[in-house]
Amino acid sequence: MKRAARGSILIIVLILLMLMFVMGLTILGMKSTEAKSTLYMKHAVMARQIAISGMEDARVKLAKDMDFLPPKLHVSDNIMSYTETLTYPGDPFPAGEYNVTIDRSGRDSTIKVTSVGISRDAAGIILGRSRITALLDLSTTHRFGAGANPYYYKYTDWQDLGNI
Amino acid sequence: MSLMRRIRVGFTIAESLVALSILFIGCLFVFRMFHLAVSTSGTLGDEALAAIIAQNRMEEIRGWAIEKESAGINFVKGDWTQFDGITVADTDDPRFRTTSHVASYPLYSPAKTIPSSKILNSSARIVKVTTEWDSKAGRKSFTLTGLIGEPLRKIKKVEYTVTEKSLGPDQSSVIEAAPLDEDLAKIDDLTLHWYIEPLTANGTVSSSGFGLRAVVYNYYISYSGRIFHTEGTCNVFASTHRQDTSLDFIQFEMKK
Repeated sequence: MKRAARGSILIIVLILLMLMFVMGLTILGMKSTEAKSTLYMKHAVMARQIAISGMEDARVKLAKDMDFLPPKLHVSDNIMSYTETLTYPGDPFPAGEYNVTIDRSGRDSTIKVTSVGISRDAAGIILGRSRITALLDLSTTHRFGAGANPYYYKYTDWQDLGNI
Repeated sequence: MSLMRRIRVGFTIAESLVALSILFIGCLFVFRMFHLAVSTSGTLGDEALAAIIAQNRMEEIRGWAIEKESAGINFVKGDWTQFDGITVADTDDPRFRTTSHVASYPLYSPAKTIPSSKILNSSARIVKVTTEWDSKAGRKSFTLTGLIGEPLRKIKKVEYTVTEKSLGPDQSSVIEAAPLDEDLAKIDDLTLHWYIEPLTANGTVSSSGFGLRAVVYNYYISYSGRIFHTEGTCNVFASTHRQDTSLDFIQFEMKK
C-alpha cells in the first residue's frame, strides 16, 4: 500500500500543473485574439475615415470641375474609377488610400459614388478596408415638394457597408 | 527493516518538497500569465477607447466645417486655427489627450496619376487627429487622418473684368472672371466654360485650366477652315455644369 502511494504527490502536482498550464495558454490565446480584434478595429476606424475622404474627394470634384467626368463616347460609358493616396503633409508614410467609383447610369439626376478606404500597417499589409456608397443628388428641384432641392450636390442614401 | 522504513519516509518528504517546488514554479508561471492577461485587457481597452475618442474629435471638426455661421460657411470663413496644433483632454477620461492638425490639401482632378489634372488647392483640408495616453508599456498613441471637402456654395454671380468690349478685325479682349457665392466671397477652384452667343456678329472665345481667364477674338473659323469677320454684336458668357444658377453675359461689339 505504501509502495503504491510513492510518487503519487508528484503525479498529482504534475497533473495540476498541466491543467494550470493549459488554462494559462487558453487565456493567452484569448488575449491574443482580443489583441488582433483591437488591431483590426483600429484599422477599421482608420479605413472608414479614409473611405469618407474618398467620398469628399469625389463630391468636391463633381461640384467644382466640369471636366472631371470624361465625355461619354458611348451610351454605356457610365463608370469611372480612380485611386488616390492620402498623406498628411510632412508625414513619411501615407495614412491610406481610397478607391472611388463613380456610376452615372442613374436616370433620376443622381450619381452613385462608392469609396473603398484602405488602411495598411508599416509593412504595407492591408489591415482595414471600409466601403461606403451613396447617391449624389443633382436635382435642382425639390423631389417631394416645391422649391429648391435642399440636398442639391449632397449625399443621400448613405450606406456605410463597414469593414470588408 | 526500521532503517528501510526511515529511508522510505525520507524519500516521501523529499518527493513532497520537489513536488511543492515544481508546483510553486508552475504557479509563478501561471500567475504571470494571468497578470499578463489582466494587464493586456486594460491596454486593449485603452486602445479601443483612444480610437473612439479620436473618431469623435474628427467628426466634431467635420461637423464644424459644414456649419453655416453668420460670416458664411465655417469651411471657408471659419477660424481653423482653433483646431491646428491644439490639444484637448477627454472630458470623461483626462488620461487621453487629443491633438489635431489641419492643413490645406490639393485635390487632383480627375486624379493625381493623370498628368494634365487640374489642382484644386482650396477645396479640401486634411485633418490629422492623434490621441495619446500613458500606459504601463509607455506612451501610446492612435492617429486618424481624413479629408474634409468644401461644402457646396451656390454661385450668386460671376464678376467680370473686361479689357475692351469693342473689337476691331482680329483684335482680342481679355476677360477675368471671379465666381462669387451668396456672401459675395470668391469661390476658388471652380471651373468655368465660355460660350459665344452670336446675335448680329460672331467671334471666338478660348480659355484653359479653370477658365477664370478667357480671350475673345473678333473672328471665327468655319468648319471648312475659313476665317470670317462679322460686324455687329454678340454675347459672351461663362457657364458651369451646375444648374443652380444662371450667369450674366457680356455684350461685345465686333467691327469689320
